[in-house]
Amino acid sequence: MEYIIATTGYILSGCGLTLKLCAVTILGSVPLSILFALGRVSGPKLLDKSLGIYAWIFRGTPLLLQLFFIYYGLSIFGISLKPFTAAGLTFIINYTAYMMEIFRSGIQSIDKGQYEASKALNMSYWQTMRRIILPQALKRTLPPSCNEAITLVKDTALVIVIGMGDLLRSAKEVFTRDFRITPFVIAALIYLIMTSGVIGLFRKLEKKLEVYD
Amino acid sequence: MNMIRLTDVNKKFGTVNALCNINLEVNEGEVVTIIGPSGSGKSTLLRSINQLEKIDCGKIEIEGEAVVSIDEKGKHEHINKKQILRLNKKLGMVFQHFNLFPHKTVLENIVEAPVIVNREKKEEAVERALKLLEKVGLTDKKDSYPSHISGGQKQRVAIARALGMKPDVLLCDEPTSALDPELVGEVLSTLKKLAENRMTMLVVTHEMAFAKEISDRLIFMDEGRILADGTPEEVLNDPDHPRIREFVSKFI
Repeated sequence: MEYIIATTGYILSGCGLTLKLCAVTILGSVPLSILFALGRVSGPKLLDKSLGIYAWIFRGTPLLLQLFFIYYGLSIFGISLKPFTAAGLTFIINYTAYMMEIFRSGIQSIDKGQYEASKALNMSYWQTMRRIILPQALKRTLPPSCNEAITLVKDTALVIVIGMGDLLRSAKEVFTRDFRITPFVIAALIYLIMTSGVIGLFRKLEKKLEVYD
Repeated sequence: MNMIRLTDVNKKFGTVNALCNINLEVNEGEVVTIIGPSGSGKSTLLRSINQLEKIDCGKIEIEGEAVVSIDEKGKHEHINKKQILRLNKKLGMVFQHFNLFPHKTVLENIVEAPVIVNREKKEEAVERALKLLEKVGLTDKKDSYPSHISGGQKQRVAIARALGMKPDVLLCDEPTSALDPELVGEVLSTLKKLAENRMTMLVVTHEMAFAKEISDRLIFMDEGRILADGTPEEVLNDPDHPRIREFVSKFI
């Protein structure tokens, strides 16, 4: 029992990084992807095309490769980033590509009558988006966004490859030292708890917004 | 006073003439109804007045000032945005499919634009919205969401929402076409009350009896043209237009 508590404590110390990276990614990519989605929907063609290419590249290549590229690759050009900066940047760029497309689908699913009613009431573009379209669109994108958030929690484990100590790495260290399976089981449980938290949070949000259905 | 004037307005959808040399005036306090077969351009005409549709050429004036003016070569006369916004604010619109904001309560639907667009104080806007709700008989639904009320109620809220912006003219695009027959009456009687209070209205409708009852003028459109424009009696008994007689006969 003592062994389990001690091991859990050690693994949890790596948990901080996981959570920090998740927070940075969400704070960075949610506003960015909303802005980009609006750019795709109502911006000039060239912007839409450019953002399309951006999504094509970052959804079409492995996150692991992108992490290598930004952390190791850029250093060749004299740009050397701290591991956390590189990881945060990579995750934001990668997740924004996915979230942008999710939000775009949400915005485009809103009935054209909503735009017409807003226009007939003389609301400006930003007023229409902020007050009428986005609230409805974001609600519709909660289920796919929940998927992304769960994936994000698990994807953070990839930072091991640039030498960062997250919770999975702590578990691996204990495993190497003691050659017991317990640390992996504990790590799995911690991931499950974190993803359950994410699911619970999204369920609450959905419930809250269900009132108008 | 002349509230709306359209001069030689034309619009094509591809090769189809949606609007063909439309000339129309609506005066203050007048209730004008537009009837005609589907695809005759009635809705397009209405929607072009508040620029939900862009016209190809012609001139549209609201209370004597142009909101859009395009010559035959497609050259736009420059009109500044502030003027367009100021003039558009004189128009309210009621849609066939209500287009209420589903994520806002009935009261919030009405308060939204006065507060956000006109920067009215929230309390004042709410107070006025409650009066409007009383007028359309929906005070008890103020905290309901649109999905929880009937179609007729939705349309009455939509009317209150349009009136919330204090328009000088109310444009109604087939306000009862999406309603179950038993719900049509409540919306028509709401509109009738407005007409009796001399609200200037331009209404596209298929409700012939209603059109006959409330209209000062009736306009018959077909294939993008105005074929007749006069009192309901004049238009409906017009012997010169076989198209009108044919159309009207279907409703009797």
